[in-house]
Amino acid sequence: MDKFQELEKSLQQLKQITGLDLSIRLENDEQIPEVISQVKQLSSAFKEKYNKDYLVRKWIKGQISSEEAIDIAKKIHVPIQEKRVLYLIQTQSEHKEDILTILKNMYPYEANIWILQVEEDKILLLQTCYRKMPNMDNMAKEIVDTIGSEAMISVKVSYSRIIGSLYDLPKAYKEVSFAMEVGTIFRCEENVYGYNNMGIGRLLYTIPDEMCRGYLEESLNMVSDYLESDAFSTNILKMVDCFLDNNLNIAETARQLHVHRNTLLYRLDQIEKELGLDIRKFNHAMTYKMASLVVKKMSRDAIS
Amino acid sequence: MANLVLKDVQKIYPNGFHAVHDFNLEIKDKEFIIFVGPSGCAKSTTLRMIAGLESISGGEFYIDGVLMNNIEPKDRDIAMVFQNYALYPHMTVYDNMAFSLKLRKVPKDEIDKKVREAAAILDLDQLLERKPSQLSGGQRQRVAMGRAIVRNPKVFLMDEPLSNLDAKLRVQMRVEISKIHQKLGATIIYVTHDQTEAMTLGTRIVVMKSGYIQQVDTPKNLYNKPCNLFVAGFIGSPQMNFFDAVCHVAGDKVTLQIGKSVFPVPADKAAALKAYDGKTVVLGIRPEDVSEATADDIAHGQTISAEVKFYELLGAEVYLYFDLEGTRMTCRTPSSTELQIGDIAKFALDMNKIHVFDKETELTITN
Repeated sequence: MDKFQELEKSLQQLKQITGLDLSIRLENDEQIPEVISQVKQLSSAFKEKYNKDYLVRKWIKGQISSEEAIDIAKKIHVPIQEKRVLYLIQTQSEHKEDILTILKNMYPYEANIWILQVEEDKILLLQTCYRKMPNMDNMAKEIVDTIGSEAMISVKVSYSRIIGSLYDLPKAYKEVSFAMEVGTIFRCEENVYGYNNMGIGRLLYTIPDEMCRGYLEESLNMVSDYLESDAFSTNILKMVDCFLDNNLNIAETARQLHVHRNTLLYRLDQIEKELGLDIRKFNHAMTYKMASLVVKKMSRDAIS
Repeated sequence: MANLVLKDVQKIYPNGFHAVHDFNLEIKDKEFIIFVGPSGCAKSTTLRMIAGLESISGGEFYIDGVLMNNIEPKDRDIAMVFQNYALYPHMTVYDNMAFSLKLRKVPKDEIDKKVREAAAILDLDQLLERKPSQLSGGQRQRVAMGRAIVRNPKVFLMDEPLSNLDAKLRVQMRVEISKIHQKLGATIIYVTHDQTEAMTLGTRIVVMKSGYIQQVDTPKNLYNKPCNLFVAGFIGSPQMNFFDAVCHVAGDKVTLQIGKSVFPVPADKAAALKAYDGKTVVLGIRPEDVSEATADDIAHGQTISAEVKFYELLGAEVYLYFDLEGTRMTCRTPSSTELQIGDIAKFALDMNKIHVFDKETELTITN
């Protein structure tokens, strides 16, 4: 290929990437290599800025304005109004490249799913929902299990609600970050957290510690020893959670926990003696539930 | 060879949640061990600790005498099969199975050998060039297992691998997994909440509840000699019948009174009950040990009279449900029975098969 052909090719590439149609006026042939180099630099600079990764990375963190984000999206032909779900994959493992490789092979059709690493321990996956709504919880579990079995790496996944427009991408990023944070406090034994399934943890997370302490003092008259209390031991918490999930139904709870009905009643009596709360009554059950969640939040703070 | 030892293993999460308590277990080479228990009993958490996907908060875990607590998961020589597996849609079966080896930078010819060996074990030889979309559910599940087998690990960990399959396929795959275990001769730890799966697959079963081991035993022993009320209720379908009975001791003779009916306890079980004179115990009896009373049973007066409340025909057998002192009872009987809903019938209990539990501790007194 001679110099002129090479220049022509680089100009065509620039046009393909940027839409710019440049005409070059040369004073002599010796300028050609320099011009080719400049055109290529222009192409790569444009590529660097106007691509999906750049768009998502900058947009979710508010490092570009919404006008700029939409402008980039239009330039790279990304539809603005589409239903999308954002997933956050978090890991402590050093083998991020393995996770990226697995994800890119799990979802090889890039038009539907974009995958990018946003921070040292965080990978984002943006899914476009063209036809049917995805089962986000299943997809998140699939990610956890596939990475676990293929690379023996432990990951946690959170996912946002469905957004209808690219304008809402920063909101979705806040949701996945929040779900990850709240999930690791209130349900740290699980690996998948949906923003829509955070329950009361979503609310409690925002309450300052001082107010939490005040609530425990007021409702249970206990603060300093809340971590050691028998009434908040794992087994009792698990039993009460099951009791509450079963609408305070003694027989069903006993059946699910495989304990005798009388054992369950005995334990509920123990809690009443210790805390003054008869969990068989709705109001007391509510108070206990709230207190147990506050204890979880404060336990996490105490440990961290 | 892979001998696994778990000594006082604990799992405590950062928020204080104590998921696994004092887990002690020795798993011998080539064993097929099942962790079974209700949802939330920490069986998967224990499995993930063995894999290294969860850190061990306390205690020690050894493989072949080597302490594994701080060994990276990928260096433990373990492979896992999960419930929610995903195959790579654009890759062939061959490439799906080879993928993890490529990640580990295993030489090409070695990958080829391992994939073909695994495919032969799983009867996938003819399907290696197919894409996942061209496979049935069972074939896909076998590919997922193939991805674990190609690594030729010391230990296979399976976390409810059949839970997403329909009932028929699950039964087929149970047989397949059993065959694979025999062919590979590997150590397998298998987690399930399905006690039927546990009973049919395991050489030994670990029954768990709330993060505690309840009993470790062979399927047969778990069924016949449960160590407590929980195990007795969890293993067996339909569930064991339980009801309160008052124990009466007169010399060497022990009887159990249920309402107005009095049942003599066989001599081999009576000795253990002597300390319970006048106390209420929990009597357990499996549905197949409750039967329609014979003339002989009636002559001895050791029967219960009750109305049949429900009738479930399962083909070869029937489940009859009736109430005894306010407790629902199940009788498993051949489908030749003529009893129907609403019939008042006399039922006999096979006292040689009873299980008696301490009402306070829920531990077995005799069985």
